[in-house]
Amino acid sequence: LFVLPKSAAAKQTTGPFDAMSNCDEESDEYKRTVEGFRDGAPAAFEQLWLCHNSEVLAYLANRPCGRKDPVRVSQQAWIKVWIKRQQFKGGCFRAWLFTIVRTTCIDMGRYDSSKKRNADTGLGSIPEGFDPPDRRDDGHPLDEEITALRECLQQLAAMDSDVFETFQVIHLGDHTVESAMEIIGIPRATVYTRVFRAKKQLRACIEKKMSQS
Amino acid sequence: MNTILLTIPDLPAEWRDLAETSWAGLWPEKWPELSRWLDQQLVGMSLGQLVEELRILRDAQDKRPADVKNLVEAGPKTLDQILTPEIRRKVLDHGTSALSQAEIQGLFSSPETLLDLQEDIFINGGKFWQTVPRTEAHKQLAQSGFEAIQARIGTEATSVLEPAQNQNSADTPVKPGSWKNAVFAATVLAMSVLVTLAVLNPSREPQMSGTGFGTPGLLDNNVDSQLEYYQRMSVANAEWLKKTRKNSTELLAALRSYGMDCKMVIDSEHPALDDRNERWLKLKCSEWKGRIEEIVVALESEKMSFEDATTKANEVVGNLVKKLHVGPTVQELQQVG
Repeated sequence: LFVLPKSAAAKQTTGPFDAMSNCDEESDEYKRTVEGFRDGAPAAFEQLWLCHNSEVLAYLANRPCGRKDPVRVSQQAWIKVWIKRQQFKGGCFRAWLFTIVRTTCIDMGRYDSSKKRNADTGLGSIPEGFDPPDRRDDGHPLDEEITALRECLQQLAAMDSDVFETFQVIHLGDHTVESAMEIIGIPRATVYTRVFRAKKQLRACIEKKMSQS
Repeated sequence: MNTILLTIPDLPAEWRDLAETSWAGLWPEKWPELSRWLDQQLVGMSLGQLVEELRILRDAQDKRPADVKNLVEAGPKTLDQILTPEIRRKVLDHGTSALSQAEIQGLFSSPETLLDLQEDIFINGGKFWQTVPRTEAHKQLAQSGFEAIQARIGTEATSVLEPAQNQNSADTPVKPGSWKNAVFAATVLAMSVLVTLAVLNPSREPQMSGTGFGTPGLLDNNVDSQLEYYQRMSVANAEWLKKTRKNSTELLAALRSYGMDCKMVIDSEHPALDDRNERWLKLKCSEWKGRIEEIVVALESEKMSFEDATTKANEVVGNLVKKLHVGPTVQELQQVG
């Protein structure tokens, strides 16, 4: 019933019809699409997915509950959106959508945690066959780089504290330190140079640590 | 290397060359690259990583000597403490170029607030945020994977959520004497008539009116989805609505052409649609054609005024435009299935 031969998502935004032009929430087209979705029109659902999936994925990729596999969580969230479509009582569709995305992410995060805990403690676990094939059960690939950054910042703070301090203050700001630097009389050009040096040293340090690992 | 912290735009070169005294803050007054960069981070897939990196940068101060540590203001702030409601609204409408240096530094020194701001943007952000460029990888990821949702909903929506409708599917025997049986029989009969007409008249070259369903190229199989096929028809019929008919003669001619165009849609094959969608479209076209013909008859016999006929015709085509814009519902597809 739900089969569309080719996904609208694969379509380029050229030609006589531009799917993304229907994502303007103030337009009548968008309002009709939301009504159609609520009435159970699969095409309208796909249109809404096309309009908002980019934000859904970004939201999930940046939260602990969805970071490991945002695609998997987003798919589950969109399925819930379809299932609960008749509960949408109008108003801001995005607000309703993100309520579902948020709860789905939290629920799946809890489920994954309890599953891992059960596996770790030997209390029994859900068979691996229940996992989607693209599921990552290992650590996040960026964790190594985060560790490297932490070590390199500490190294910089210990070995070249002026450079580190300037780099930190320019980005995080602190009026006390800013004032102190002004009183000490550090010229702007020095601040500029120190930020440049900090970046250069950090980049080299992280690259070195990553290549070693 | 993917460290986001190191991709923060460099300080503007001209800032370095400014006078060394009487500077109100550490940041340059104009740093548009920074707000552009931050806008992209806020809609991107790596904001969480940036938050983590800024947290590390903030906490790294603890490794420094106590006298320096004491200089640094402690304690993270909330988004509401950093941005006033007015400023926040400006950001939602126009992006982070609305922020001062102190406000951006405030967000960076309490990096968790960036995630709160991102959520606010996704829910309440204005059109500006749709124009912020996404990475190619993000775009590709966002536009793929609907098939997996379709596949799962195709099962769940019918077997779990809508069991009543699912029982009416083609695979389920229809109980004798029920109204569903009658609908099914009528559908089969209607389809038989259509098929027979098509078989008896296979080489007919329909004359298209050039508007509405008669718009050239409307039935071409050069679309990437059924949604696009329906919506192209919706747009074409919306164009038909825009045209003004000055009197009964013009309206009659337009409605007769419209009816013929409907018939052409009914008689044609629609390779862009799957079987159920094609059946649904043809049945709906038969229905719309019937309504148009009723108006023609009423207008010809002067049982309906020109004004009333115009209103009625616009109502029929207007509803049709709306329906084609979203396509059939699951229930409607089940009914023709």
